[in-house]
Amino acid sequence: MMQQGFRKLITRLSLGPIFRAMRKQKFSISMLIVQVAITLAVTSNALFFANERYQHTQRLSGVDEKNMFALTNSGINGNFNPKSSVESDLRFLRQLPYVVDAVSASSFPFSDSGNWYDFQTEPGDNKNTMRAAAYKLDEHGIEAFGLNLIAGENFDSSDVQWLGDTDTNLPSPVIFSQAAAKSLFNTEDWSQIIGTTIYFETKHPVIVKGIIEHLQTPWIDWGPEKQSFLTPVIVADNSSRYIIRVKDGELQSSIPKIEQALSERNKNRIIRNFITLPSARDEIYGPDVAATKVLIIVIAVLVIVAAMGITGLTSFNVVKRKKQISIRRALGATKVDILFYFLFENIIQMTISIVLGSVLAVTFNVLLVNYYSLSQLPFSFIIYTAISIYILGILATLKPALKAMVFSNTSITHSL
Amino acid sequence: MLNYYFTLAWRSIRNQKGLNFLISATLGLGIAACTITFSLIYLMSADPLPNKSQRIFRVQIDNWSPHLAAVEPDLPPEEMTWHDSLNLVQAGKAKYQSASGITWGMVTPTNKNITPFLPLIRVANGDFFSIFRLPFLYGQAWSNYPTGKAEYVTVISKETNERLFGGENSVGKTISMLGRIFSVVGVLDEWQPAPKHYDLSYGPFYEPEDIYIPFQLKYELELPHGGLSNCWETDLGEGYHTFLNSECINFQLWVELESEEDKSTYQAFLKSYVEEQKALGRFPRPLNNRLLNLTEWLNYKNLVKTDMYLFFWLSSLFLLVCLFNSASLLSTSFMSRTNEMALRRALGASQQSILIQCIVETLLLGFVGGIIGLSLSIAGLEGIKLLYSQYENLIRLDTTLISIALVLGIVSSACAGVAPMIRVCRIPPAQELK
Repeated sequence: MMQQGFRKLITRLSLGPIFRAMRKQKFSISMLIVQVAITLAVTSNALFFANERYQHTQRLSGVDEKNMFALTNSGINGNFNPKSSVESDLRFLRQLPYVVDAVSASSFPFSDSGNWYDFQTEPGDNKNTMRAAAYKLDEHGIEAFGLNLIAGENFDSSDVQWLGDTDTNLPSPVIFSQAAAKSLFNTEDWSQIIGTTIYFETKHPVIVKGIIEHLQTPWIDWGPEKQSFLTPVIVADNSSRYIIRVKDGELQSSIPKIEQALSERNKNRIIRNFITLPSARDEIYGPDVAATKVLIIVIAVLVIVAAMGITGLTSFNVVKRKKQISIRRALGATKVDILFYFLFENIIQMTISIVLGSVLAVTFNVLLVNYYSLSQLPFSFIIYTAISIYILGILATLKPALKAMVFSNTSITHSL
Repeated sequence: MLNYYFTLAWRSIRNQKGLNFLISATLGLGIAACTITFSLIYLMSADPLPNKSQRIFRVQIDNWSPHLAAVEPDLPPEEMTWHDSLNLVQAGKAKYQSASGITWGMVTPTNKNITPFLPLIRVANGDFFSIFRLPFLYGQAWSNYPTGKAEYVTVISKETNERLFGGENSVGKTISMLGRIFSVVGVLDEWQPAPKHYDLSYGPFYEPEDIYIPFQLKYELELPHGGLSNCWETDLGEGYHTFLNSECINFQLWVELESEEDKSTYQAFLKSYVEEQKALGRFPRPLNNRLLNLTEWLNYKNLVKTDMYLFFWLSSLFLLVCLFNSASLLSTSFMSRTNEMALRRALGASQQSILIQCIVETLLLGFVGGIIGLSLSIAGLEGIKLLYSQYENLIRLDTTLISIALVLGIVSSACAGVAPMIRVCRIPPAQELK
């Protein structure tokens, strides 16, 4: 019973006529097949790279970005005292009703500038080291960045030291990001880590006081982008950077108020380089976002061109096979048979394209991996693209095939 | 005769307006994609100083840690220490030599209507201006000062001159900045090198500095270290001058050498300098001097990003898809006119003249495709400027770009047309005329 049904289906699908017709049009059909195959190769790779870029831009910074901004305070004459200016500015900023907290920090996520240090668990040359980015700030840093302390304690105000811009010394203690601690100690048992003495730059001891959940380094393309640490230092230099975290929704309105208030408080300096963290993020990820857009435009235009190719060829065939269609209709083929005829023909072509295209996609990707060290294309992307191409093929065939379906059998056989 | 073919081609293009527009537009899309990506790579890797890039060299010597290479796997540091910079410039063994670096500092105009500002400043030797051919609007550069003899002079950018002096000739006037009084010796004309070949430390499209002052003043005025700085020693100690007196690097040394011979003499000099320093207990690593010319340096710094190559190859494949697409459209167009062709054959036209007619028609379509491609390229490059704001100064339309688009149009239409043309010529007239 089942087998009979299957045979019936095969007859209805009229495989014979499809292959005979395709053989007659070797040229156009092979053009179409190659075209769709390359489309598959390009689209799957482009889709993969676009997705990779997109994921890259979506990584978390660990700070409360949407409520934060930074500014630079620079002395303009000899009457400027960096230390007293920073102290009084921070005291003023912290008591403002719309400010959550403020801090003077050497750097912030997306700022693209900062220092790194190498740490090791034992002193001495040639030991395994862990590299982490430094955030120099005082005990208000955790609150002003919106960080999550998951073990140990925050700094005390007595931990804080004032150092010069070029001074590379680090006072004890330090607070590590989870990733940095894990990489250095190879354990997630924080109780073993808190209070341990470790060494920076081969021999200088510091004590680990706390662990924060996550804090991205100031550079986005730096290898260990999650390895960072806090150190209780305020840089007392002619220029210093303030990071201010405000209450939800107060970001835009607070900037002009703070700018005006700070400028009036001290005439021996200028306040400049205001930047919100959302705009710093946009700026630093600009090239990645642009690349994603370019890739998406390439995919879109390519899909349109390929769809046009499929529609064009099917329309041409419909016109060319008017006679054939009307004879078949006269001999008893239903409208649905005609529709399926074109759809099935398309599916056969698409299948050949997809097999060829998958090979091309992998080849193209292997070349990109070898020459430009790009990432390897996962097979899932070829499958997604292949499915989309089947759907695209059917949609592109549908319009001309529907036209063929409604050819009236009488009107056409008349002309025979 | 050719005129006749053009008339015929034009007539048949007009008869099948829709189809032919589709062919040209498809070709145009592919051409535009290729032209845009190609011109980005081409503009990015263009010679920044024609006739000169081969003669300008970046000097690298390896003062790095005995345990660790400055640049993996075994390359010398890209920047230089303060003292090496001073010594090598003072030695004067090249035709021109200049160390330079980025710093910043406060400018406090005496005119109270101009607010103080904090510009980026380049500390450089006088030779810097001739090595990189900086254009002067007024005045000229200072010459390299012997060690310990620098004066408070400055060269300012055109923009800074507008800001401070309203654009007039300010040579001989003074500026109060960095807590001192500097006298202006030169004002630059518009100068926006893209890429910023002489210093890539803030990225290849960063603005040039606003103000230039003699290199040695950095020590005296204790100016901050901009650009890239890096240290390998652990016990630096405190105070401003420890950094400059240490093995920390922050400065770029460029020299201009006339010939291959001068280059080998200079290399010998560098070798003897490093050996001298080794005798003093510095330079723990093996001898590892490098002298790359500007072109080699820019290649080494991978100025053309991988993204661009990825886009280029994607767009080339895209053009290929467009070619196959137009080939099948062209074939459709020719095949639907086999009657007309057969009639012409029957009336005495040779196979060759049918072929010529097809060729003329195809090339005409290709030319139109080239023009469409060119317009799309211009629009696309504007779009790239919007997406990548740093390319603003880089992207410009030039004859290379225009010719690439048009040639690509003709060539690709010819490629797309070959197979359909051969097919249509082979058709025996009798069968079609039945």
